[in-house]
Amino acid sequence: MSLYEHTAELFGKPVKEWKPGMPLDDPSGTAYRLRIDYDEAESGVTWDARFGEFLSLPASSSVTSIVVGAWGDTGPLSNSSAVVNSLSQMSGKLLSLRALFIGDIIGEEYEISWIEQSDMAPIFVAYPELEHFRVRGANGLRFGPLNHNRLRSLIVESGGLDVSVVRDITSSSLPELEHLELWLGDDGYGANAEVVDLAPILSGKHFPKLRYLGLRDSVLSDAIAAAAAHSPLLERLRVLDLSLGTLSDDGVAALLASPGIKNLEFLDLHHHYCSPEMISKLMALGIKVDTSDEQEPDEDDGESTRYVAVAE
Amino acid sequence: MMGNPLDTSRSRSNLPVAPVPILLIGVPGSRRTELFQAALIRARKPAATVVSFIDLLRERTNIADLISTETVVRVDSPGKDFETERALLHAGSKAAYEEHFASVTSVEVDRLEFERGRILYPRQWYFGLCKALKIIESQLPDCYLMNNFQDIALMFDKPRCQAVLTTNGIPVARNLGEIKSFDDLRQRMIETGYARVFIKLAHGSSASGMIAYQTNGTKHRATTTVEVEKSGDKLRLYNSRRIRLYQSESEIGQLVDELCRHRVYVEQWLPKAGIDGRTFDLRIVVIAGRAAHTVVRLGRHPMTNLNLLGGRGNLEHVLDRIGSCGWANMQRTCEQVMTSCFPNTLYAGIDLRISPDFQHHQVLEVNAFGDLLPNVMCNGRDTYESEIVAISPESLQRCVV
Repeated sequence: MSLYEHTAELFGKPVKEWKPGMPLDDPSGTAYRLRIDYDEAESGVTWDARFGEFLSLPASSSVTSIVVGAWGDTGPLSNSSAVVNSLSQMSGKLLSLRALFIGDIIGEEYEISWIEQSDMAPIFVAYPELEHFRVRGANGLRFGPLNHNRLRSLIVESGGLDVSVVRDITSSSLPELEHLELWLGDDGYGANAEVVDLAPILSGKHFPKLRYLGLRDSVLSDAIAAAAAHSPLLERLRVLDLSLGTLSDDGVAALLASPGIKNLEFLDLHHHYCSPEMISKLMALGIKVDTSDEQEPDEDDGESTRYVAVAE
Repeated sequence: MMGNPLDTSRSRSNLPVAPVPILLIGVPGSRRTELFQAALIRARKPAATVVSFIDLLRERTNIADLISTETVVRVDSPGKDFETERALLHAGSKAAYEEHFASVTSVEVDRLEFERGRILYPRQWYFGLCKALKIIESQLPDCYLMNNFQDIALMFDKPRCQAVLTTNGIPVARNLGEIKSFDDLRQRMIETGYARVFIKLAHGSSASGMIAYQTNGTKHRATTTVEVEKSGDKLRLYNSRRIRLYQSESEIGQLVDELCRHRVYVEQWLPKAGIDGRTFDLRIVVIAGRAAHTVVRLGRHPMTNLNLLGGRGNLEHVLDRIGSCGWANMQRTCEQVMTSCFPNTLYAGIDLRISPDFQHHQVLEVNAFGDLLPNVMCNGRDTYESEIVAISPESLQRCVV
């Protein structure tokens, strides 16, 4: 699978692509996307020019949500450090910014494994009031560790997450974090975290306010399910999201045997490799479960492989 | 000699009135032929006389015997028929032999056996098509033509077609030219700074022999409809409906080098917009100068050809995103392709790329036989019926002896 469309929503707000000349008529209710279309990049439009023009609008200081798309290359995508730097330097102008997504880039522009990110730490220093952060692409991605007292949501989308990013996050201090979503990805595309690396999250000791945990798009879905089944987190999680991964009957059996699983409001397992029998047992749990998008293992030369939804 | 329909000296009374006799040159019994005959019945016209490419090429038919001054001649696709393909390869063998691209002798053509999807000598096939068109032209008496022969040949020579579109101010993807090898390709990409390109057969139809390739200098990625098989010390190329992914530089290099033997050209890979969870482009059939039947071609890959089973998308969803003003511009571009580049051809199918922000567009391909869109309606008519209804002295080119 690839990602085919730009995001239509950011943390509950509709996304509108901003182009020069467009007024910011709903700065608090709309997430504005700044991106350089390939055709614009060809004619010489740069990120700095586009961002500068956006900031020149007085209403930009009231904008609460920004989506950053492709930052203007016709060759290989340059890494995001220039974007991170300009956003950080201009924090004095974006006084109301609460939600930020860096990397709303679709597969037709650059596949997720070709997106070059950078160290996001300057963003969190520059925006102490930031509440929601989402990033796509994990090449070159780092977070610091973070020390941030307002962040409520953190979403990292990747086709293969390096363990250093997981460790940055598990060693961060994020007392208000409610929603954590990590797309762990495929080992063929750089995923190298193991379940033990997720233990600080699953122990429930970190992130006291966590309500939504997504360990998605992983080749380790079954092992993660087994670990999550015994997690003290289940006492307070509302949503456990193991979607987009390689979950099979083994993982579901572990979830079904968990005494805490019924405390969830929602168990998201879509894109999975489970049998109809196990799915009907999940349905009998009495909680909301998404078991859509059932997959068949790929059979090649007698070998059966389960793929994650987003890797390359 | 080709006459210009606009300055014909014939008076109106000599022009065809219903019933119009139509001569169809194509593959008898093929889906296209059957659908066209069915459209004639719906339009209450007499059935077309069908002449096969094979009979023409083997000189078993002389079109002059089948035609009156009021006949309208339609040339349809010779595709999807192995015997016709063989006849075209025979016809193109001499011209192909005189060039350095891959070719086979007539004796070898006779030995070829049908293999599903195999890419056989597209350059030679193209020469065969040109020869067939010449034979038709030489046999034609005074009559009407639905498609101009030079135009058909031009549309089947994609690099030349792109150049003509560019000259006429039509927006197209930037051309990196014809390449001789993978090394040549890499050099061009470094020179131009492009990281993502399409490699296309100069004479391929549909998504035949197409590669979407990207590199950042260290990583490589090619998605393609082409499969390579070793046959002795030679490689054979096959079109597959299953898209292949190659990530090894040497494998990609081998594939590109092999494809280069058949004449390929390269253009920048412009990112396409997505709709309803898929990538898409548009096939727009222009008939008598008007953009008409439109299909949203969906794909999970850079290749969105309908043959790849990506399916058709919802046009309304696309038009909602494009807006009426943008849509009018896109239709105008397609109409300009026909009026400025192919004024003597009644119809063609144009593939249009839409940018991810739905603001920009480029013409990707012009398909001479791109009007096979069964059950796609415009003003209550399918493509073939619309073409039949559009037949008029004003819309058609007159071939005058």
